[in-house]
Amino acid sequence: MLFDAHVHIFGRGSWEEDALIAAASRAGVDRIVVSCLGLRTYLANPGLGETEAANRCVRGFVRRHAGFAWGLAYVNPRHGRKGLDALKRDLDAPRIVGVKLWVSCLASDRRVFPVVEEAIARGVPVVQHAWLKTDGSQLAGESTPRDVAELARLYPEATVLMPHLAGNQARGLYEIADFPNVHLDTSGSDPEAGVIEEACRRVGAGRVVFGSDAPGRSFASQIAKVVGSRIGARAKAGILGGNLERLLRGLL
Amino acid sequence: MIIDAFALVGHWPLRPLRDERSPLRWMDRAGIDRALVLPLDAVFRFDALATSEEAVRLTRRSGGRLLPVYPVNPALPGWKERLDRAVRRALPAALALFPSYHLYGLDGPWADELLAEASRLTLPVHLALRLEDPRKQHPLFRARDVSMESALALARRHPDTSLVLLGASAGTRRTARRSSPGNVYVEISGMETLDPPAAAAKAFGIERVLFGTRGPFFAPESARLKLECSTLDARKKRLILFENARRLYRALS
Repeated sequence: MLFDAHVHIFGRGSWEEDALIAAASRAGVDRIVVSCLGLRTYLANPGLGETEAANRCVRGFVRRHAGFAWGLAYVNPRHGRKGLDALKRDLDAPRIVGVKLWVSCLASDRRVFPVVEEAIARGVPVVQHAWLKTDGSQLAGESTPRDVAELARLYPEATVLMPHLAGNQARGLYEIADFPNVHLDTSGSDPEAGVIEEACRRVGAGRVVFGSDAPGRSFASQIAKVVGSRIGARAKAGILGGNLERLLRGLL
Repeated sequence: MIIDAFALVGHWPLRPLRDERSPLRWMDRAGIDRALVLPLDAVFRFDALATSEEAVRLTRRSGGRLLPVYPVNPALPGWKERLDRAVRRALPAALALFPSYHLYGLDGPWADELLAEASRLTLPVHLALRLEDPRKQHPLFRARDVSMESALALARRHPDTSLVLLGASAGTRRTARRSSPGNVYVEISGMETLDPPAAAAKAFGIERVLFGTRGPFFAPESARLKLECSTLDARKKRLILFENARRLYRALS
């Protein structure tokens, strides 16, 4: 089972949906979890109408690809009560299995807390973007692993999925290692050798799930990071699909 | 048959690399038959060519599977004489430039002098556009990407020299699509999106795309899987896997 935790989609007509499905198929991907961060481009601080439109797009996609795709509800915590109400409606929809947080505010921002509390109440994971950039391009509301660790510390009962393993570098592993409620996805960044092995050493293979960051990244390239890693077969199988299935048990 | 145009050997102090002493182990695991090896240590040495001696020793022990690429810093005085001596001792498969690490621009005289010399030696030149994602570089060891525009301009000034772009990515492909001269080649290690080999072929022409892994920096399986999952037909895949390299590098024949 090859289960991709991290795929991006866009509004119909503004991207090649068929090309993504075909590429996933060629790469042997069996299931995907998708989010939409904006109909045409990623929106760092979307308005309420924009997140609603994005999530409608996700609902339509998972409906069209039932049995293959599940979705996350993108939320901007800056919208407060109204955003939370919209999130609740999104999470009521079929095949929406978690919450997506991107860069409108840091994971440790108090405005995120009601969102996380809602996710806990529903037993769904929070996918909290993080990246550790050294070139000055870190966005104002872009979390680092330290921010995610703070959120995990405050909410030990939350299931947090922190994407972009290689983008968060070795330091990211140290930041979240002591928080067993934080899981990692392998999505994005170059297919660096050794990254998977280090993650398994620091946090354990059971906390790592495969993600691609397609269509910006190649399914094949990202799968190869795991397939080419020097870990055991059982650990690989877990990362490629078993661990995510377990995280989403009861939601699929 | 798979020929890797972009394999690395040597040390990278910023993170541990697997099999850093010889690429043959990871090549075997990834099913790669032959590779052009570039010494990583050249990045840290102003006299980059000095690092080729170890690469030559390594290639001599490889039963013909490894071919050396000689890194040159053309901003260092006397490089031509040293290169001439090195080439007389052992002919490389290609020369290589790391302008971001040796701190010169492609619009200055040095890269032009090197390409002119490469033309005289009838050797291709590998130009490193990028080794590492700039977002992840050590803050005290930063190297800017070499722009595709400057690389293509260099290629146009030297139509008799084949220029192989190392580390080209999606953004650079967009530029290349507009105006890539016929002596420019690209390897696929840094290419992403849904079908990287097909996109590279569209931007540069199928006969100018090379198989490259950037191993052991990158998982070499990545380049293989990109090709296996590509929509390109078997003939085009063969061109990328080895036929283009055979045509480009006389050292392979």
